[in-house]
Amino acid sequence: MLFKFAILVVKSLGRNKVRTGLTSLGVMVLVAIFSVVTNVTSVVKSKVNAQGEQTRLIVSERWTMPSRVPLRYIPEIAGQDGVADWTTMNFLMGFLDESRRRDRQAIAIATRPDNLREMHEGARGIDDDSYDAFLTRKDAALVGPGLLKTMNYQVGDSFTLLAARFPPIDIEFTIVGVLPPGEMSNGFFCRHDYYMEATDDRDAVNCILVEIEGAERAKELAAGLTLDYENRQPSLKVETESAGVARFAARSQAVLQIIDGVVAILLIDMIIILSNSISISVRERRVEMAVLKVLGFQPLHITLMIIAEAMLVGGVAGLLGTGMVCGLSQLTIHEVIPVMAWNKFLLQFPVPWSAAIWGMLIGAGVGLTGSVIPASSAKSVKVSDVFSRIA
Amino acid sequence: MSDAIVTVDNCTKTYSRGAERVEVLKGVSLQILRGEFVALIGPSGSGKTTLLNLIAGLDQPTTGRVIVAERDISRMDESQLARWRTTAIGFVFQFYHLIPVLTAYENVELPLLLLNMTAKRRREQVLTVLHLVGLQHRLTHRPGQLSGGEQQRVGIARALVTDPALVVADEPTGDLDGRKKEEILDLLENLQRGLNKTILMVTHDHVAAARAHRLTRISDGLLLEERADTKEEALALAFPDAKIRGND
Repeated sequence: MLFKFAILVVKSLGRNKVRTGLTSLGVMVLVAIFSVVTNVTSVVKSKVNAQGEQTRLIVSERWTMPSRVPLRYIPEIAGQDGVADWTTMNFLMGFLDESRRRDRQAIAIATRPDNLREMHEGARGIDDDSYDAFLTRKDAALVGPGLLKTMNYQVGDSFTLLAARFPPIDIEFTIVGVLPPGEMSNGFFCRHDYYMEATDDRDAVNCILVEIEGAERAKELAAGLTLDYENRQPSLKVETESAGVARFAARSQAVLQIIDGVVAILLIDMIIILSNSISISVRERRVEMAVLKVLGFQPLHITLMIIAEAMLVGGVAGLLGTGMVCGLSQLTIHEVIPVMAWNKFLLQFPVPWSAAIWGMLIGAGVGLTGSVIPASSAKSVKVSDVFSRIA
Repeated sequence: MSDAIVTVDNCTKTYSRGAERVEVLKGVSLQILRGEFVALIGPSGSGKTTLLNLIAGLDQPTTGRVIVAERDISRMDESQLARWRTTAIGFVFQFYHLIPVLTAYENVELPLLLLNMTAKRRREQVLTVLHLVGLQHRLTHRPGQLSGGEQQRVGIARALVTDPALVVADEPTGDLDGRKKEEILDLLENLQRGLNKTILMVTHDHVAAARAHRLTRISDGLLLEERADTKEEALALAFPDAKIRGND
């Protein structure tokens, strides 16, 4: 019997295909935007919320931007009790061609090559061959897929990073491998030793990243090192990586709140679109509702039927909308479609397939909310009133 | 046990239009016996559809009682009435009111979905009534693909499919003309004879009324007690214009 009701619901939606199609399309687009936006914000928020387990310290210069941490500090810091590993980071900003256009801009991290995969999340999935090449070749660059696509580079190509700020030196690199999609999608890793050689900047790094054995020890060490280096020149700021992310996130809190507001507006929009469409449909079918009541359908049956119609439209549109974004995301990551300005962000914030299920549930939820008023109006159709009007 | 399938006992029905109160039925009493084919006739606004709605459980009387198939339906709530209607009443509408997106078969099957019935039994029942109305070859056609007469046959099949105690028809030929009207009236008559169905038909049409066993006339909210020994005399009283035409 439920199956027959389902058929009735599906067929009812088919009576005005244009309206159902347009409503679905509207919800589909909104769910797609919704899923992309919430995916980006949830990635940012999850980074912030992952604080509790952080065992990494970022050591930077206390008062100067960009930070300059003397290399002579490294043996002292690395020799502390509880330090499991460490690396250095220098951030290079530059352009990839003389046009110096914004989309030709790139950021590079010059770092220790021997523990790249251990110390940098963005390099964790790099394959062995690329990594071996990175260890072997001094001018090696491991390039993000977005950057590779934008510049139409291939592994083996050489390119020059034209300096945008300090140090004012153009540096040539050779691509030895491609990074997995993620945070470094539009950047690249290079070797710190090569950076020093190329720039003659041998005294300091922008920051030191230190891996500590245990979160508790990391907190102790952060406090201890800050105190130890307070009166030295230059003095240092030591904080857990999560605290750094949180500080960054706090600055962008207002932006995240605005985005949350936009997401809420999207949801309300979807509810209005669906509610409007279902209301029109109910108004057109008042006689039909009355007939169903004459045949013995209870007000609850009518209510459920209307709600089911709205949930079906919302759910299917949600599944298709998010599925489309997930598909685009996968096609972009696997380089089936070219990376351009409109889809470049998908490399940094890939939408997982599981999001399609969420999209469907959100769509169905929107359908449920949007159909409450029309369903209540449908169930209260008074048979004698409807037929007296026809007569 | 009484043989009356419908007993309307001193029913009134009053509607409020703002401050104004309109008394549509002013103490109507009526009995319809099992297997009778009764035509309810009267001018527009006389209260015949209101009376039909009370008998079909689509509305409640302001005062009085309505007993159909031995159940007092005048005090049932909306849910109880809906459940009761599924099996007790078959309704035939003037404008058929079939669900346009469903096939003839699915339209007829609709009331059975509310009953606890196996799919096989449901299918048998639907096919039986569609055969009865002569539409066994139109199972998969949608209302838009059927003629007016055929749509009304589907409507009649839908009314019969739950084997109700009473079939209520509101102007069943009002949207049909000529031969199609005759066909529908033949069908209703045959159903009444063959299946011993009780039929209450509201009509304006003397041709349709002439097919009924008994005429009941309502005017200004009151049933008229008319002294007519034969149905022909009653018809002549009810449709004087038709009588004049008949004499021409």
